[in-house]
Amino acid sequence: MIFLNRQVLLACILLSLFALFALLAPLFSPYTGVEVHLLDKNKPPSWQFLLGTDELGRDLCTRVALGIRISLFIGLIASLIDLIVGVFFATLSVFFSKRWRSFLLQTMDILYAIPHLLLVILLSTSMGPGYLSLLIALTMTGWIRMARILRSHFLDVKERAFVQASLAMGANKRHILWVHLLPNSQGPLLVTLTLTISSTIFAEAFLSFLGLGIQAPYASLGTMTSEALSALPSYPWRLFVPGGSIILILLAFSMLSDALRDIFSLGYAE
Amino acid sequence: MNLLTIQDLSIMHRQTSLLHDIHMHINSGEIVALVGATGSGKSLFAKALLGLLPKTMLIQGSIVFDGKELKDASAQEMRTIRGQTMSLILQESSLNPSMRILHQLLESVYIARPHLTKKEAKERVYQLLHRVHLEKEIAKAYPHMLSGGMKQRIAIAQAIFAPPKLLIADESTTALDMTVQAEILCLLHDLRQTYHISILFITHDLSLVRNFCDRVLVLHEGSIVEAASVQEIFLHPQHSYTRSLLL
Repeated sequence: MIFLNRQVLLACILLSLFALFALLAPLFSPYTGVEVHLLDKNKPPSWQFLLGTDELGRDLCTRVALGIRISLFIGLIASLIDLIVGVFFATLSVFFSKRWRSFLLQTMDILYAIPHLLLVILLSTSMGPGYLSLLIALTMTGWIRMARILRSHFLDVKERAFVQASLAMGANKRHILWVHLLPNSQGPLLVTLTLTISSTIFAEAFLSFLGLGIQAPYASLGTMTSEALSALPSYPWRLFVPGGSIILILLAFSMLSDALRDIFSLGYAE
Repeated sequence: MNLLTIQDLSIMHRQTSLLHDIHMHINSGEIVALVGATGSGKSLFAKALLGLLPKTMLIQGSIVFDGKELKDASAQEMRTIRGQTMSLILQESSLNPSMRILHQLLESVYIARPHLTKKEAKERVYQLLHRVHLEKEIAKAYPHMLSGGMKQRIAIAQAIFAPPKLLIADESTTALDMTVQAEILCLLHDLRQTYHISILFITHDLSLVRNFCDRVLVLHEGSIVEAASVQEIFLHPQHSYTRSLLL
């Protein structure tokens, strides 16, 4: 069982806590996270404001919960899109005729050669800020890494004896994909997926930090970090809370992908 | 009656000839051994019969199976032939490590008979297990939980579901010890008697075929250098390569 691995268990507990906090905190909080309380601006953590307030007196606890919600939502949705598109193109590149396969691989190589973050910044700038443009920018080339990793694994599995035996029984390509290639690629698929989620969360926070992602008054961990940077000497908690959240979330995904890689490369769960 | 007739078969990859001028036939219910060293083209020949060669390879000559020219068959027709009348058994590693035996056998059942209900398909799986002398409980196991001989029986069960007219056993006893090899050969012999299956037994080990096959074809560097009955091959080998195999 994967969950018997201590590292996987720790990462899953940490991520579950963040997800629960992101889902439940705004429901139980008396604040919406966007309303302004000018009399309470830059308050340190207290019973009234659990994690303090920002320069407009907005409750940081509610805003961080909303920011984590956005980070996890965008990270998961963008990674799922990368996964679906990546599996689709990996499949085409394995089963297509030689001419189409070369065309597809060369197109993927050209797109992969463009620096990912630079392209994301260009697309976000040209399409304007917002959820949709952020998702499009993050997934435009994000699927290529998934497709390349899966393609190499599919090619390896396709040559194994059980696939040859299945072909000899009269199986078609669709059957080979669903019954043999995908189930036997779950290791690299899961590891790449967790890495994609963490890199997407980081990219979203980075874009928001630069002012190209989620816009005010909505909360994003990147936006909050950016706003808190200038106030660091006087109000350090304003940076530590969103910054610490990003670090812990990325650390949890990194631990998860490391542990999954070890488990699947060793072939057993500790 | 000839089940399989091959004439002037040559396989080319770019400018290299991998198999050349192969002439052979297999009669119904006959067991024919194809013997040769590793790299002589045995598995390539099996793949050519099953229509599983890459498109980059050029096939010349004629392969007539059960009255039909296989070179003219479409991809769909070849899939039907593979699923219904011609089967392949590979080495013991030919089972998917991530699937339970039940699902591996259900796979072969559903490919050949997609209209069967789940209950009927499961029933057929248990019949197949019984046919290859395995317990019903084996169905719950994963391949790594079974011995080499058991895995090979499962591979045979997968191949005989239809049952086929021609069974190609490609080095199917290579990874097994002597006792288990003998058990598998007995099982194949038994299946031949029951279903009147023809078997093309591909091996690099000439000693294996002595008490099992009717005829032997010796493949060397892409050509059949000698074809004769088992007695003739063992008593009066004609070609120097055949003699070297007997040493």
